[in-house]
Amino acid sequence: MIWKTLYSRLKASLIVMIGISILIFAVARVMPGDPARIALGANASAEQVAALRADRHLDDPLPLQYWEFVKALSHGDLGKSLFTNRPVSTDIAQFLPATLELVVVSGLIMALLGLPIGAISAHFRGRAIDQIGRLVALLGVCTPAFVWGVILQLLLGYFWPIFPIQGRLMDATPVPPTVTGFYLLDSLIAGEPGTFLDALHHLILPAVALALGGMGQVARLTRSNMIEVYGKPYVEMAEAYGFRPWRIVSRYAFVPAFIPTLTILGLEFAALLGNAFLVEKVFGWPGLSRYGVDVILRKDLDAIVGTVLIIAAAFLIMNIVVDLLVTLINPRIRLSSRRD
Amino acid sequence: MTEPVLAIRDLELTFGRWRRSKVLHGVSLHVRAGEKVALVGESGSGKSVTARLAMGLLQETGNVDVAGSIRVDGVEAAAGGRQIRRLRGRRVAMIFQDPTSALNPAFRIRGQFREVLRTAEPGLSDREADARAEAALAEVSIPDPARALNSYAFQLSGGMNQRVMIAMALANRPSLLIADEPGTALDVTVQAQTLELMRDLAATRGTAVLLISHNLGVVREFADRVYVIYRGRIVEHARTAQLFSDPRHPYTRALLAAIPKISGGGLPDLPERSPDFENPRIVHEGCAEPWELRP
Repeated sequence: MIWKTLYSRLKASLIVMIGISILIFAVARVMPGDPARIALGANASAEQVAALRADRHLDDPLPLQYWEFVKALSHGDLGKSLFTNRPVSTDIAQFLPATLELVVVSGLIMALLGLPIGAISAHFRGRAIDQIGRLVALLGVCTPAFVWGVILQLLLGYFWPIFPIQGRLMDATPVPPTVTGFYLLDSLIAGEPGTFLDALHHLILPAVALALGGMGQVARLTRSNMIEVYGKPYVEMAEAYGFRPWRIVSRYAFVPAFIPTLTILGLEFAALLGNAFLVEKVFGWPGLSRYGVDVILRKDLDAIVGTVLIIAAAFLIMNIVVDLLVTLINPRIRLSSRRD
Repeated sequence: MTEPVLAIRDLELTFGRWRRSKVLHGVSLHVRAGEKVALVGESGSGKSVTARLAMGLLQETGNVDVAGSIRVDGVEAAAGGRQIRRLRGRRVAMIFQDPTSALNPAFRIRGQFREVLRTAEPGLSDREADARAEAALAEVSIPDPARALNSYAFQLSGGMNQRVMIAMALANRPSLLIADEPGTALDVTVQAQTLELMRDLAATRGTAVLLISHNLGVVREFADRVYVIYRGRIVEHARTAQLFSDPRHPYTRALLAAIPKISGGGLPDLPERSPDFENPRIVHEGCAEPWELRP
């Protein structure tokens, strides 16, 4: 049954990916400005520009170019960056893990802070603890991630300098041998706890800055869903049968409220990818979101298409994961889909 | 005589902190071990809040002002708090109107039943809890207890869920069972079956039952004694036979006249309010509250 859901979601995702690829392919090319001219600079001669255009098939009709792109893509080739002159896949492989590491840790912080804050707020609804929880959540929601980045840098990197504010590692710390590209994992695999701590130390501020917005959203949603659940007869039943209050907060009211929250949690998680770029900019984090903005500004065609496709794929995978999780934890969906 | 399992004395309840509205004006009632007592009244008369106060549930929401005394199984419960909370599920249990929505939709019956059993015995192993749950479900004539334990409430019928609730309520052998309009959400035959089941089980275990109902037909079948509640006041208190043969309070008479009869005659007009209804409480012979007996 899980497989059936997975299959249908994958099918839909493939169609979305094809649509996105056509769209971004066309948009990147119809934007004004000659990518070859931008790449070569103002001093290049007209012949040099023409040669580069011919080399990259920029003068072919769009459908033909797309066809060439798809053909190349079918053996894993995303084309070549006009700037770095490296294959786009190499660039992405270099920058993507940094972003994923940031986003995954950020997502964990978002869920691990947002869910309990919402649940505790709901349990103490109307009282002082609730007011504090709501204030924290509201601050999280209404302040953009890059502002959090600057605030955290000022407070914890400058006035009270306990965290580094730039990069993924200290200059003196050797980069762990690449296995996953996640420094946290690679350093552990290499057996270097010092590097792990350094990577974690660098990761905390950007991850928290990125997480706070989604954290607020998750906390608010958890709170309101749980307050609704607290009005249900089954919570009164749990109280009437002497279930301990803590068990009710953490289980008998939380789980029914978590089911609708999970969908939004997943969307917020995916949205971190998009929000990551300003945080990456603020913290000098060598990630893919920053790379994506850079290549768009330079009109680096293949790199734009490659980056957008990878980010779209990450979004879709995230959505599939959330769909599967919702199916798994909601007994109604799980059991009804078993029937057919 | 021993102390009643439930003794409510001069209970007053006011909702709200600023816009105060008083809903109970001195309710007194008692239920002795093994007795089946009904609290009857129309909706809004205060019967359900009385039950929830006795369980200590309403006090936890804050925003209520309670005066008077409630003694449950020897514990003072009017102020709510830890003591009455610890009795819930063990010494006092409750059965709800709509069993299907009173069971958690996100968990199987098994998990909820274990939790219920563990409120009395925290260290109970899963296996032991399941064995007891199955036995309890068998007692309420659920044909395949293991399957019921593995089900979610929305997979079972209303009647089944009602049986599950009764089994859960009685699993820890409480001394008092409060049934708040049990099965009103179910169809009449199922309602009758479950009431009968509840009565038999309560009788074999000596559990006292407080039945909250608006249905005099059900009350007549079920209860030994009846309190009639109207607008937050007990207006009449009698043994069931006395009440039905000799209703003395005008409100009780109006309620009795409102029972639809199959033999025809239709529903008589029951005035929503009548100055007569405010007459003082009528207590039938031999039905005094325990504290009124002493000089």
